[in-house]
Amino acid sequence: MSRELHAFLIILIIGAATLATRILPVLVFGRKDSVPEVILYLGRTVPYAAMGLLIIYCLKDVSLFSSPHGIPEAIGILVVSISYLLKRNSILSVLIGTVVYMVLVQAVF
Amino acid sequence: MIVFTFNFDYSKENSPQNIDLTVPFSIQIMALLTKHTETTVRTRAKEDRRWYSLYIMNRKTPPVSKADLSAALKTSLPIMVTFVVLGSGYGILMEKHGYGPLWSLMSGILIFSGTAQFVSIGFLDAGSFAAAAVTAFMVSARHIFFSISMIDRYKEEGRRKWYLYYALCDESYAMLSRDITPDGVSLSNYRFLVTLFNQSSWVIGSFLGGLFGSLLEFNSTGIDFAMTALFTTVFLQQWMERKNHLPSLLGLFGTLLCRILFGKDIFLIPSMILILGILILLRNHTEESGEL
Repeated sequence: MSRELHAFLIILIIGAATLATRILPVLVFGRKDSVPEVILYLGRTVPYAAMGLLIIYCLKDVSLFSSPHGIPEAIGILVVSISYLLKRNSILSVLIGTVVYMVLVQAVF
Repeated sequence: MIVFTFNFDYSKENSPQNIDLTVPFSIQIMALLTKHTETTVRTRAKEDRRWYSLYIMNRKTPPVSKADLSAALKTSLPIMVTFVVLGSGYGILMEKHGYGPLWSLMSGILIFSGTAQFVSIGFLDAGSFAAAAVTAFMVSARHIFFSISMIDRYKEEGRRKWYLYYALCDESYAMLSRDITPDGVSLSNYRFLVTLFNQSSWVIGSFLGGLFGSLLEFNSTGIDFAMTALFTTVFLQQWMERKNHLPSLLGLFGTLLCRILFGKDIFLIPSMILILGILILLRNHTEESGEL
């Protein structure tokens, strides 16, 4: 098998596996006219739980036991939270938080 | 004349029990509809079965308006900037492994998941197909969680929904599961555009990264924190709009617990099982005690 063909098949397979995770739930629960009650309930609650999951997922490589002990992440999240609570502008908070974090990891720690 | 029957789950209080499901398609009604934006009709349709059937019958996706474009752009902008930078990082890495911009472009369309695409690089040359499939499924499994909670939201999207699901990345999900749509904006167009903008910026970024390679390279270490920041602002927003914080707390601490217990490679799947299990167990409690 040529290198290109192998690479193409890998992309195809990984694409199919990823697509499956996005489409299978819909094929299983979304085909009927009415959406099952439990799915409606999950539709209302999961978005709230999912944000916590995504935050931890983003921070999964942080180690508290080796330098810099997650300090840049903690400061970054603090900056984002405080600026968001003060100004309620998510674009601004994302911008400030990211700049602070980049300075911290590139120049300070 | 159109005789329209449908199933729609209302919250129990609002369910009109004895309402005539077949609504004649009269001229008066057409006039009524033209006076209202899609958003108003949608809002009323949730409370009144007649409005709902009107909405479904008259539902045509309106052409993309300026308001739709600017609303979607406003939502997507921080994501787009980050995606162009992160995408170009992916394109540069692909180039270094001997796969040019067209490969990055193709991968961005066939896979379209940052994590899965970065993981795929290690398999391109000689990785096993089975291992690639299993790994991709593991890192992408969180999408199952996301798609499940979009079923009710996207059920009226017609053929468009297949694109919306295919391109439902973490960031599009965070933006579109909030149910915040500016007034006068077509919800369907808004969802479509936000998803499309996010995907395009990632794909274009990875193509440019592959094309210009190290010319573009600046020290972007830490730019991925923008995603953490974005999810944090959504988290805070959700926290403030609801009295019942149980799902938010469960997501945060349940996942943290699983990260500690299972390690950073496989914790997502146990987290999802834990969260879904507890949410379903607490269903009655959650439904009774708050708005959720």
